[in-house]
Amino acid sequence: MEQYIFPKLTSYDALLLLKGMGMTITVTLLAIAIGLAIGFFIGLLRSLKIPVLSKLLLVYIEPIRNSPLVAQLFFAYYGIAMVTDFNPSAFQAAVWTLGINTSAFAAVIVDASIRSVEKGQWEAAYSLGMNYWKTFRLVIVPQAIRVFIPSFVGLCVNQLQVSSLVSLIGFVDLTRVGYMLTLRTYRPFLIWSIVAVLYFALSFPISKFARYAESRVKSYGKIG
Amino acid sequence: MTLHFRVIFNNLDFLLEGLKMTFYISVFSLIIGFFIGLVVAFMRISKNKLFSSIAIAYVEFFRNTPFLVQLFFFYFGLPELGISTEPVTTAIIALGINNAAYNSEIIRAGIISINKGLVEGAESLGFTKFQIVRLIIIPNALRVTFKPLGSNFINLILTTSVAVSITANELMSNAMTLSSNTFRPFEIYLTILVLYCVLTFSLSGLIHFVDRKFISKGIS
Amino acid sequence: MIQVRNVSKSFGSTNVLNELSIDFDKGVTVIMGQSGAGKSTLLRCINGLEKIDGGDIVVDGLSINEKKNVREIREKCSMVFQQFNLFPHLNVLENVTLSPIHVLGIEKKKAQEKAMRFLEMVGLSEKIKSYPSQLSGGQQQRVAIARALIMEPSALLLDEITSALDPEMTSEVLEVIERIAREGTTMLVVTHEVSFARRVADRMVFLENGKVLADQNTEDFFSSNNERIMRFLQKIEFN
Repeated sequence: MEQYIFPKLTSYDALLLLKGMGMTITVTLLAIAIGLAIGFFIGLLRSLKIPVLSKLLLVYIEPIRNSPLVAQLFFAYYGIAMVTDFNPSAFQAAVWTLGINTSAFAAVIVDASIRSVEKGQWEAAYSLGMNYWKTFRLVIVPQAIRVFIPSFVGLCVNQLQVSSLVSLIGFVDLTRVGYMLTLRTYRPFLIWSIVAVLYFALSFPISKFARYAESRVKSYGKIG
Repeated sequence: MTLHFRVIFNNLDFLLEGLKMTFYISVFSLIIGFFIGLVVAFMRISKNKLFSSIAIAYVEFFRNTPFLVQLFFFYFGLPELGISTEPVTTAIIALGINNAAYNSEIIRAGIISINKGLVEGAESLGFTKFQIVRLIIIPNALRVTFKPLGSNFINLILTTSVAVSITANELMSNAMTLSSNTFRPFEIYLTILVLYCVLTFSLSGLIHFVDRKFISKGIS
Repeated sequence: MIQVRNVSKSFGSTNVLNELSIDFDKGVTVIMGQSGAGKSTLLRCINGLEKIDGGDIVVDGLSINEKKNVREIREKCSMVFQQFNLFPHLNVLENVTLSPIHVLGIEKKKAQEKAMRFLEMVGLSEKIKSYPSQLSGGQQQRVAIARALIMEPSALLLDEITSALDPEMTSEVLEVIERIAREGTTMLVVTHEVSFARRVADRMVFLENGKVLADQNTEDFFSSNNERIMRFLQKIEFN
C-alpha cells in the first residue's frame, strides 16, 4: 500500500500567513477609521437630542447593530453589484461594509461618552461665556475621552475578530489564507491552530489594554 | 433597476425552513452556552489556582479569536483527530462554547453581587437554605445578569449566520443557496437583513418587557 | 442693569415663574423664598441656562430673547453653582484661566497673573496646582468664585452656593463673599443663610409661587410683619 505523505508547511506558507495577517490588519484599520469618522459625526448629532433627527439617526444605527455582518457583506458585495452599475471589489466591499458596521457601534459609544459628562459642566462653561464648540473641545472632550477609550478599544478588538468574515466574500485575509493552506496541505488541525494563535497574538494585547483603560476610568471615579 | 421580490414569495417555505433551523441552533447553543458559562464562572472565582487559570485561559482564548476560525477548527480541524460532526451539530457546539466565554463573565458578576450579608441576613430571619436560594439568591443574581445575558443571546442569534461557511442549512445558508440558484442576491439579502432585524428587535423588546415586569420591578 | 419683564417659565404643567417683573441694580440683592418658589430658576433664566416661555430679560440693554445676545449676557453675568461644577480635568489655575484665554482672548501669561489676584482674594493662591478632586468642598467653591470673578462680570449670580457644604466650609465661603461684596461687586444671591443675608444684603427680595411677594431694603425686610415672611424666617432660623 502506498503511504500518503502530508505536504509539509513551507517558508512560503509562513510568508502567506504573514501577508494574510497584514491584510487583516489593513482591512480592520481602514474600517475603524471609516467607522470612527462616521460614528463620531452621528454620535455627536445624537448627543444633541434634537427631537426628530435623533430618532432618524436610530434608523441608521439600530438595523446595522441588529443584523448579521455576514448578511451585510453578502448584500453589499453580491446584491448591490447585481442591481447597480457599481461593482465593488472584494476589498472595497470588505472595508466599506465593515467600516459602516463599525460606525453604528462607534456612534453609540460616542453618544454615551458625551452624555457621561454631567450637565453642570456644560452649564458652568456656558455661564463663563463659552460657546458650544469651545465647551465641547476644552471641557467635554477631555472628560468624555476617559469613558470613550476603553469602550472604543473594546469595539476595535471585536471588529478585528469579525473582520475574518470578509474571507467569505473571497477577500484574502488571514482566515482566507488559512482556508487556502488547508486545501493545499490537508493539515486543517495544524493550520487552524496557527491561524487562531495569530489572531490571538493580535487581539490579546489590545483587549488587555482595553481592560487596563477601563480600570483607570473606574479609579478616576465620579466627576465632580 | 427592476426588483423582483416574487423570488422571495415563491421560495418562502425554503427560507422559513432556514429560519426554523436558526431557532433550533440558537436555542441549543443557548443552553450549552449557559451551562458551560456557569461552570467557567464558578471555576473563575474558585480559590483553586488551577481552576481559575483554566477559566481565564478559556475566556481569553475564545474572546480573542474569531468565531469563524473557531468554527473551521471544529469542523475541519477536529476530524483530523478522528472527531467529526455534522454541520448543524458543529455549529451548535462551537456557538455554545464561544457564547459560554462571554456568559461566564456576566454570571461571575451576578455571583459576586450576592454578598455574604444578604445571605446571613436571610439566615438570621430563619429562612431555609432552599428558600434563601429561591427568594434571595436567584432573584438578585437575575437582576444583574438577565439583560446582559439577553443581549448575548441576541448576539448569538446574529452569529448563527456565520454557519453559512459550513452550510448548516440555517437562514443565512438557505439565503445563499437561493441566491445562487435565482441570481437575485439584492432582493434576497435585503429580505434576510430585514428578517434578522425583526427577529432581534422583537426579542430585545421581549427581554426588556420581561425584565421590567418580573425582574427589575421596584428598582429604579 | 438687569431688567426682568413679565417673565414666565414652566416645567411641564408647573408654573415656576409667573409673569415675574423685577429690576436689579448695583449692590447686593439676596433672594429668598420656599423651595420651589422660583429663585434658582430666576437666576438660571437670567444666565440663559433655561429658556423663558414669555416676557423678556434685558441685561445692559441686551435682550435675552435675541439668540445672538445670550453668550454676551453670560459674559456679563457669571454664575456660581450649588455643585461647584469645576472642570475636573483641569487644575485650579487652569480652571480659572480657561475662560479669560478662550473667551476674552487674553494672553496666557496675563490671564495667569490675573487669576493669581483672584485666587489670592479667595485665599487659595497656594493651591494653584491642585486638581478639584484634591480640594475640600469649600475650597472648590472658592475656586468657582474666582473663576466667575475673573470674567469681571457686571453681576455675579450665586445659586445656593453653600447648600452642598457643611457649616464650617459654609462660613469660609461666605466670608469670601462678604469681602467681595464690600468691594462693591453687584451680586444676586439665592441663599437660606439669614445672618449672612442680614450682614451683606442691600436689598431683600422674597419670592412666592413665581412672583415677587416682597422687595424691600434689608432692615425693613427683617422687621417685616408680613405673616408669610415671618413664618418663613422663623422656620429657617429654627433649622
